[in-house]
Amino acid sequence: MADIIVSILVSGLVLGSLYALMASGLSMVWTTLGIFNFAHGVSMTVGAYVAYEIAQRLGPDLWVGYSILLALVVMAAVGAAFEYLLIRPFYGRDDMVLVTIMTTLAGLTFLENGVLTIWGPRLKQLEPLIPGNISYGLVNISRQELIIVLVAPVILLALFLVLNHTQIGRAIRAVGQNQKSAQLIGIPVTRMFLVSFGLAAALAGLAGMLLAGVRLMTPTMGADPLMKALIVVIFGGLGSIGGSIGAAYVIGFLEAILIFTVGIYWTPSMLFLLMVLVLLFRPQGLFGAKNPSSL
Amino acid sequence: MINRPLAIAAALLLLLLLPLVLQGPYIRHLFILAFLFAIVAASWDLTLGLTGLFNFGHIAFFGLGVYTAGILTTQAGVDPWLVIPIAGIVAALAAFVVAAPTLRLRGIYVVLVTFAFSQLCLQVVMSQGDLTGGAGGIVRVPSLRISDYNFARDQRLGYYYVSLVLSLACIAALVAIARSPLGKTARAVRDNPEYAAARGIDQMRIRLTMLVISAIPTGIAGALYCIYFRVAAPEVFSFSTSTLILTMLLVGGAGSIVGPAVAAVGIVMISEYLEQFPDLKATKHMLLAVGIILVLRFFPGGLAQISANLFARSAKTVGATPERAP
Amino acid sequence: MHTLLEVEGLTAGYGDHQVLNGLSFTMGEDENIGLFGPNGHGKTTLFETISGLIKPASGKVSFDGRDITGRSPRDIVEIGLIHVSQGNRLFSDMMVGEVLALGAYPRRARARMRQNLDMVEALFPRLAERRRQKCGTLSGGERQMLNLAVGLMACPRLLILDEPTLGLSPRLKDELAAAIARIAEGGMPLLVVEQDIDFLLRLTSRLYLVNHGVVARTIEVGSDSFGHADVMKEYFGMTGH
Repeated sequence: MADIIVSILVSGLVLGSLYALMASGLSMVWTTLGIFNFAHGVSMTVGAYVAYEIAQRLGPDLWVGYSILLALVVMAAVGAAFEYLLIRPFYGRDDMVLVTIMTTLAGLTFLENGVLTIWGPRLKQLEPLIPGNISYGLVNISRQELIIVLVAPVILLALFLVLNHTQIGRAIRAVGQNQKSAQLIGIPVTRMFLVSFGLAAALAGLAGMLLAGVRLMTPTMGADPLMKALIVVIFGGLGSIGGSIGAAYVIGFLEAILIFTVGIYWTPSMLFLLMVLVLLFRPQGLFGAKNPSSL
Repeated sequence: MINRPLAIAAALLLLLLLPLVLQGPYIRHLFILAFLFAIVAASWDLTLGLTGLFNFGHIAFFGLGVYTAGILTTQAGVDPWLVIPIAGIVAALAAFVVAAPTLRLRGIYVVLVTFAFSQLCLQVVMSQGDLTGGAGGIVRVPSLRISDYNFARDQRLGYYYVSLVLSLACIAALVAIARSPLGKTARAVRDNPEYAAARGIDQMRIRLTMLVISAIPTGIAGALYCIYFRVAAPEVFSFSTSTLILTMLLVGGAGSIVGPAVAAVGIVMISEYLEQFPDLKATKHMLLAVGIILVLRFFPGGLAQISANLFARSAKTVGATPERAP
Repeated sequence: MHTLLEVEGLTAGYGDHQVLNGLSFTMGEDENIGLFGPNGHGKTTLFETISGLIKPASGKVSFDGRDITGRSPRDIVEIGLIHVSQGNRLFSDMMVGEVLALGAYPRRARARMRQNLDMVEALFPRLAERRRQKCGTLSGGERQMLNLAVGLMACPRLLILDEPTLGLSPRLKDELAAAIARIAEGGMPLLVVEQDIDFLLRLTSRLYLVNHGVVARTIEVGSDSFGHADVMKEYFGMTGH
């Protein structure tokens, strides 16, 4: 029994960490721009493939970590380009929320098929950062999973510190709350949108690169995490980055428990049912504020 | 100026006579697909465009129709003719289930729940392999027959007329609903929620009704799609299918019902033409995605806007721009 | 006298609705200017055009001899022209301390952030007490103080105040007016819109009456014995009451 509990805990932590990396970016883009980015999941896919491509080019002698760092820079640029091409032309339209849902869906289709065109449907794998497993008492975990579990909170803490204790972080939050006031302070609003999108894409990309060291990569690998991130932000309240991160871990553990109890086939339905229940009784999310500012 | 009823009558006559002129099964196949997608696009438009309900799970109703037909015909031996209306009912029930938790929610949450629902359907289909065939889908779905006449062996003539008639019937029904008091109220609520609230209009009831109504033709189209292709495959739930239909909706002009149906014909032709080149399958979807963005950017009113300028008389009813956020 | 701000023939508006109809005025380096006039005749539009929120249809705005017409709000803030807008609600989910720090966002204000913070907290001790409180929970008066303080954090060379005491109780109004007077005493050029003419008469050296989107009249304060009653006569004579 104890070993089962431990393995559920470990797998919940791994899942929660990945979802937290995903959901934090989704939620940040929502709070700054008021846009729900359906292409967020595919950022994860693109990140993994870009890291794979860089690793291939650099050759097997070089540690995969360097490829990941380079790929993160590429992803930030991809995110910024995405904002520039698919979001920026539609600012100020009164149906912007709806229009950008469609443009990000189109972006999702474009990128997913782009990955398919460039890299083909064949499964691929990225080298783990550190190969091998660790066994300690009842805990049995691959080193890559351990890295995921340790890296995610560090990155999220860094995100928290940036958003709350640096000028650029405060500026990103300010833009989300009141654009006109932000402009009058001298904050370059559109640049903050670029930064927010770039940061979110890098975070999702990182999740993809880390996951690609554990599981095989496919052009549709981002679909399931997007779905989970969606459930996470509904649980956590879309407008709260902290709430989303908390909810990510809750969902991660729930999923681990459900997979053990009802099996992998029924887990998605159970999670969906839970989401519906949450929405029925707390439409603002489990951790969300009572009165979200927009939509 | 062109006389509108005359134009419609001419178009209908053309569609009726077309398969007699064009003998090849391939061209008929293109039109069959176009008719089926026209139903899906027009009925999605009823919720997304006309009612302003942020429904992004419409593809789920189509997929449910496909799988209802696939499962009932192969596993329960139900007659293919009979599963067509049954699929409509199943889709309507599903719409009811999705609508219940979303009606009280604000815009973006409706998007999330409906979208999550369509993804859930895909995951259930993939995981319940015993029933759905999993990733491989259901094959050998029986074809339509009228006593000894087998629709699978007539160069697709029968399917052409069945899908044409169903398509016309569904679109006529959708247009009638759009012009009914219910449709008018829905449009009023979309354009001015505050006014509607002040008038005491029950928005939740309208949204529920519209969602359920729009699911019925979609489920029917799904069932016929399944029976025609004789397979049910999980791709029907994919982003790509959603994108394809969204393109029809936007190119046709959101909120105009007929516009998306007309656009479906053109887009199916282009899409199927590109289908000949298996290497370009992914490229096709990329082109559609670019198409969506360009239409949203430069022709937000779609075809309906253009035709509204052509048919000046109808300028008041068609050519509605995509609804605004509440 | 050196001209700090010069507005020439400015026309601007919202969409098809033109509000400014060729408005012109000048402001010297060592003076405070007051604007008054009926609501809806272009005072706020003028300020939003000067600060870059609205692009003018025609006309010219110069600051310290530089043409700033149509520049982005960010550039204009960087130059030192700070607009404290009317009823600005700022960032309701951010703490007062954070918003003050954000006020020093312009590059030229960053180095002086510490000193400016001490200065505004001395000016508004109440904000120092509320440093960890969210903006959304502030009272109207406190929020107006924060607005002014955020403006000061940006190291302004010219401070534009749009109805700084609007909607406040008489006691709070006096408190804020005193703070504004102290800012002016420190040598900060002020361009102020206010409905309270007495306040403007005490603070400024010149008044412009803005009506129908133009400066309808210029009044030199103190040069002659132009008092409250005369201004009121002008004002109401103008609007026809």
